[in-house]
Amino acid sequence: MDISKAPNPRKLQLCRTYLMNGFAFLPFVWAINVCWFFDEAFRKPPYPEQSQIKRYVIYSAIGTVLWLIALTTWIIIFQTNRADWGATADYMSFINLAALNVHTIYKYLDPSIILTYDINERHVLDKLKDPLIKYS
Amino acid sequence: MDAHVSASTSSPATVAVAGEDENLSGEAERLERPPRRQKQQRNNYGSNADSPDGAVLTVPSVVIRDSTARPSRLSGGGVGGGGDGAPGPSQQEIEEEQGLKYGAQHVIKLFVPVSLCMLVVVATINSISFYNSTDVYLLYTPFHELSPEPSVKLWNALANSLILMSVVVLMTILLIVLYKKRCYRVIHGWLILSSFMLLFIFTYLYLEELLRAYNIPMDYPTAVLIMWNFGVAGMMAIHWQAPLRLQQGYLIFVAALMALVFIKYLPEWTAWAVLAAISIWDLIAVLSPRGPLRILVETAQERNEQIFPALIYSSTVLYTYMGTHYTPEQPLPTTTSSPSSSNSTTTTRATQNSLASPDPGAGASSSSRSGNSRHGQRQQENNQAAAEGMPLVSFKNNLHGNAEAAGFTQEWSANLSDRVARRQIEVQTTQSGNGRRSNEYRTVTTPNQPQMEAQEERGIKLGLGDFIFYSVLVGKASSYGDWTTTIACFVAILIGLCLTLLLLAIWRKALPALPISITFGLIFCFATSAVVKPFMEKLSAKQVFI
Repeated sequence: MDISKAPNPRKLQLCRTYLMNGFAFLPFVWAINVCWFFDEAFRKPPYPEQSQIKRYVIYSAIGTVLWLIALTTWIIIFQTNRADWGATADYMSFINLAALNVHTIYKYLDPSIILTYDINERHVLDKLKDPLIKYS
Repeated sequence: MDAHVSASTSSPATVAVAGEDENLSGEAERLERPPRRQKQQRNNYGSNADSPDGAVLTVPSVVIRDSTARPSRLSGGGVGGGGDGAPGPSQQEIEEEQGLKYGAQHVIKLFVPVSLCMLVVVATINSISFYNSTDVYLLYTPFHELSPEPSVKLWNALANSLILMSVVVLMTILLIVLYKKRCYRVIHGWLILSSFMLLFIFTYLYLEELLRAYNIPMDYPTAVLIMWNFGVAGMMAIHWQAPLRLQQGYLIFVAALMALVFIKYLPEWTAWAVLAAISIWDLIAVLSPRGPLRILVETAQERNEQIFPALIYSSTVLYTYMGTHYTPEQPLPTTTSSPSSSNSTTTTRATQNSLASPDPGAGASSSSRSGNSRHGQRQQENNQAAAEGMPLVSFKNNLHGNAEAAGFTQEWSANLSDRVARRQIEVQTTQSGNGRRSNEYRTVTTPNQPQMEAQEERGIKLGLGDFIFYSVLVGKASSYGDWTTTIACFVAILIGLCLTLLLLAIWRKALPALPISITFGLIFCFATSAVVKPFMEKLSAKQVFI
């Protein structure tokens, strides 16, 4: 919607709603709030609700940054320690590289071949591309 | 360039001023296109064989007419525009120029989202092999085309498409019945459920396949967080309020997902047969007098409502702001693009509030685009400059149960009724059933009412079903691996879209957006792969460059 044409109370309401919604583990909503109302809060000539909107935008921005830091930290920790954690890491893995179904490569053979390999030895995968190598 | 023309006065001078602002582009466009008589389009709305520019279609020219002219104009144009203000030729030219300019702009505005959608689908097909293989089938296509004989495949495809089409027809009729009985909650609930499923479940599957294709590991907590954010923001953007670009982006993404699902879960020949069948159905449903979609459109017009707060892609936002003498309970600006029911009802209400007489300004409602602005004018019909009632081109996507994605047949069958009701797309210019209404989607504020100003942005709307089937066509073409065919289909579809918009300007009634594009697309696809591709290969083999 075009925020510039909305009346000011409506804008305030919208900003507040987005702020409140963001508390439900929704940093994206906060980010949207910041982008959308940035002009309204900081670049427009002042109007009565602007200070409130400014406050909401700042809160949303802080929330977004905090979430970003937390998420990045977690991702880094997870990715670097994935191998070390073993079973726990597998359990948490959404995409698990430890087991690859290679039927797309060898579908002429038994399509149900499951290749399991150590994550640290991913170079094994490269050998699969060589059709001359036979696997037992 | 800015598509809004905010004419602030009703005097011709204003129009001239507004026109001057975009002189250059207008001029350029005017040169390119053969001038059509603009007067016609104003006066004989839709009934005139003298078609106005296609460009005019979507953009109502800023016509300042006095109010008396309006009703006559709207009443099928039979009156020949009597009393139509008769602005001077220079004003006509200006209007035409603006119409041209904006009309072309709006066509371009549709190119970008349609191309984006197709791009997403083609990119996915080419990089994620999951969508290329069909090992699980929809419940609706019991014949799997596994036999190598062409005749068997053919009857399989025909049978499958018959089944699918009958489901679609059933869904459409169900939807019409629900709509006529005013079961709006059911419809809204249906739509919300569908988009919920699409945004969460199918996006989850898509994300999974995407990560798998690129070998990116991810843990459950991160994935859940991403999905949750994406989904909730999507629901807010589509059904509630959000920045326009975000909403458009989500709609495009959702359409691309649906198209991918169709590509994946329909067997080869069935996909082509379904495309052809749905174009024919679209044609029948929208144009024939007993067609369900036409009934839907007319009912919505009678009720002055937006036809569907469903998934329609809109390029601008419909907004209205009331002038000082609007009643306080008038609704706040509405956005067309978000097909939220609140919007449509707001528009309707606003229209009705401002209307002294029960004009179905809401016609615009269907077009949500239209004018809220009209309210202002309605109020003072007697001395207003009427905004022109350009028919609102709205391609509507009739969602029947939002059968979005194809899913796993088991879990799908439960929601399938939702899904299949595929989108009937109509390009619609809503014209009011009564003479008065105009689908104006543009309002020109009249100088006589300085306190009232309603402005509306011009925009164009296209139904999501159109996006989906266009993308299915291009995606299927690209799944054969040949770029020439893909690009040929893409160009064909865009040409078809232009033609459809042109026809819309000529006929000014609801038109289906699928048939022309799909026909061209199919012709080009098969012709290119059968004729052009071997030709090009021969040429490059012999090193002949043309």
